[in-house]
Amino acid sequence: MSRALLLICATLAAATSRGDENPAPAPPAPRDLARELLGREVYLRACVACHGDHGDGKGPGARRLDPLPRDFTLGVYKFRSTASGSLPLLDDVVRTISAGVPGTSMPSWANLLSEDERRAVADYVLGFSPRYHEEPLSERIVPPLAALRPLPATGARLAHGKALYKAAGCIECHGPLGRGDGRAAKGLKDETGRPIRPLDFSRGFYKGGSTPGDVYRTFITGLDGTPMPSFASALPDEEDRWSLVHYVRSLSRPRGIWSWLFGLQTPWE
Amino acid sequence: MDLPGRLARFAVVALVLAASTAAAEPYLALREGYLCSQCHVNRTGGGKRNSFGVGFAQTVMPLWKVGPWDEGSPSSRGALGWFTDPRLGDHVSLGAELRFQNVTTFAATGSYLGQKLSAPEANNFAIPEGQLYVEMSLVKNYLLLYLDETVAPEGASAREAFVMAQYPALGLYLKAGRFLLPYGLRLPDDNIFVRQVTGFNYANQDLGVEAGIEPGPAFFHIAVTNGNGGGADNNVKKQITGTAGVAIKHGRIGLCYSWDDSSTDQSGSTRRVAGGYVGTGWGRFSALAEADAIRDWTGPPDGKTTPTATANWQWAFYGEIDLLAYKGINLKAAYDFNDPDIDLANNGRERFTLGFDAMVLPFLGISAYYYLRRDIPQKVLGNQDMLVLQIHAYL
Ligand code: HEC
Ligand code: HEC
Repeated sequence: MSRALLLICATLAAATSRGDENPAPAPPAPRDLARELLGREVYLRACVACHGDHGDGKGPGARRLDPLPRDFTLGVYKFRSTASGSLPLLDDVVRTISAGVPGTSMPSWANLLSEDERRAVADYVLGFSPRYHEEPLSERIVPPLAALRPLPATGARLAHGKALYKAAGCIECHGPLGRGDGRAAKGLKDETGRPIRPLDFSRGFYKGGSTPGDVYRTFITGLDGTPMPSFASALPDEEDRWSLVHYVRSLSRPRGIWSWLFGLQTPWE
Repeated sequence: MDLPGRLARFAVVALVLAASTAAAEPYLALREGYLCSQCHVNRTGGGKRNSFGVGFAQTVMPLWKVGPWDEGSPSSRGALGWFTDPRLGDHVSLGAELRFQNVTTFAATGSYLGQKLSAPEANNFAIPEGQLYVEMSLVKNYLLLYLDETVAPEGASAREAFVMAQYPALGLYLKAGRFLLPYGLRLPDDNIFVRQVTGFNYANQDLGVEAGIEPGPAFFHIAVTNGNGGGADNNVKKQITGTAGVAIKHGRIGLCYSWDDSSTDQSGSTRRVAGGYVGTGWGRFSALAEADAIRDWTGPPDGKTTPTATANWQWAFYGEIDLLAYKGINLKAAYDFNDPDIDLANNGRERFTLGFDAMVLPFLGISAYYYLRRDIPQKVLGNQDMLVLQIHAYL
């Protein structure tokens, strides 16, 4: 294999993964049989091993994974830009599929499936839940990443964020240094009754994406199916929200040699 | 060459090596905390990958996922982007594996009874492995037919051919046919002493039945086969091979035993192999080791101990440390030891391995390994160092 070819591969890979950060909003699609078939085809090839034939998260490879692959029949999604308890937007699911869920076995599909295929399979996956067919489309409560206007991280905001981190109760679960070791962290369970730990912020990566906008969305909408609540109504003020975002992100610690060696959490990209 | 000189060359070559096979090897399973059956159809590892393994090879392993070359027209890439799943319809799934290598065997000298011995340098290309896999699902998820056919470098022969019934929820299975015996770590290199001298390697398979279960973190595999190294056999005696162990997220331990009286009728020999392995994986780092003791007994066909009966004990050890230096690139250092007869002093042989494999693209890896080998002076071939450059393609 020539170095030039490899370089081309690398450049292409880098270029294409950058393009996936902000998928364009999809127009509400009318029922499209070709698309449904494409979604099914992609699902049966790329997703069944983990998520199972029936979308119930019981694929042949799922048994020993931690966390378990999502059971789509429940219609409960962690990564949304919609209110807690509601279904995600198609774009949210496309984002998850494209980026994967770092720190879990859910891979990133950005370079392996075309945008078209990712949209089709997202639609197919959503369809496993009866809610998708019965409920009206959920409303967006957090603007798309491209439309978010992060306030800059200043010293004052960091200090304010630190105070809020305590006042809003983040510290109870995530712990004083964000290590996921707060007083309330022990014994937390997800909705299926499996033990779950608050994310350790010192690792510097987040399941729902690592940019300020991603972190903003995550804690505003909460992670459904887990103890991580939505702070949409508790923190209505933009100033407060961005202060917290910057403070939480500041808790990531530069990795030392030991954590480089032993702390790998399969960050996919 | 003197030892410091060889070590120096060993170090230099190891540093200069700029390329490198990430076979789904045991170190990968350890790093992820997986059992072999997570990625392989054959529940004891090796051979064809299952749908999870095929996905893993494309999403997690490679340095570069192949990206869409023609971003502008996603539909022109066919029904499934760049994701590959080698399935034909619902029932048939194919797989293949090819290793192609260049081996340099360096010159070495030795001596025997005062005479000087030498072995010249050599270089050759070889195909150590060329397989075609076919998996047919007879009853989806529950019953399958599996063929692992050696197609290269020479005439075709079945490495494995079996039917397997399974109950996935418990990891319960029953296999009947010809298969690799469930013993030890299924490392990809048959020259590793624990594979070579135990006889549990890719060159030795046997006919029989195997059962296993993987309850919670534990796993048990047991096989009853003809025995006698898969050779001719027409007696009632059988070989029994088993492995039991526990695999948790960051480590695993396994105990293995094989009991083979099957050739007592003909040659009057029996073989017992007992061993164990441990492994651990933390982040970028994984380590594994296996040790085996082998007792070969030769005596009269009736198995009675007589003055002419002999028993030979030998043992072998293998240890490996792996470091994922970068996505897809694994550095490996390993140590092999074999004492072919514990009654004799100073007759052990050793092998140090240093090198790396790089999973450059999905389904394509390259590797480079330097083997520093040491044996007693009269076995000059065992003192030849080797450099193996390999390309490994599979699906
Ligand atoms: C190797 C196993 C694996 C494969 C293959 C896989 N997933 Fe996942 N997936 C997971 C796991 C594990 C999670 C749960 C992550 C978590 O809970 O934090 C998950 C979660 C998800 C979610 C949930 C996101 C949310 O908001 O809660 C979606 C959507 C998803 N996967 C879609 C897909 C699609 C589509 C495919 C095929 C293209 C796929 N997955 C293939 C393991 C996998
Ligand atoms: C009741 C306990 C609890 C409280 C209170 C809590 N969290 Fe969490 N948080 C969790 C858990 C559990 C997770 C991990 C969920 C998972 O891994 O699926 C999490 C995850 C997160 C993540 C990571 C999301 C990702 O993409 O991986 C962020 C960011 C976060 N919390 C921010 C906050 C902030 C900010 C606050 C306070 C305003 C807060 N949390 C309060 C339990 C809590």
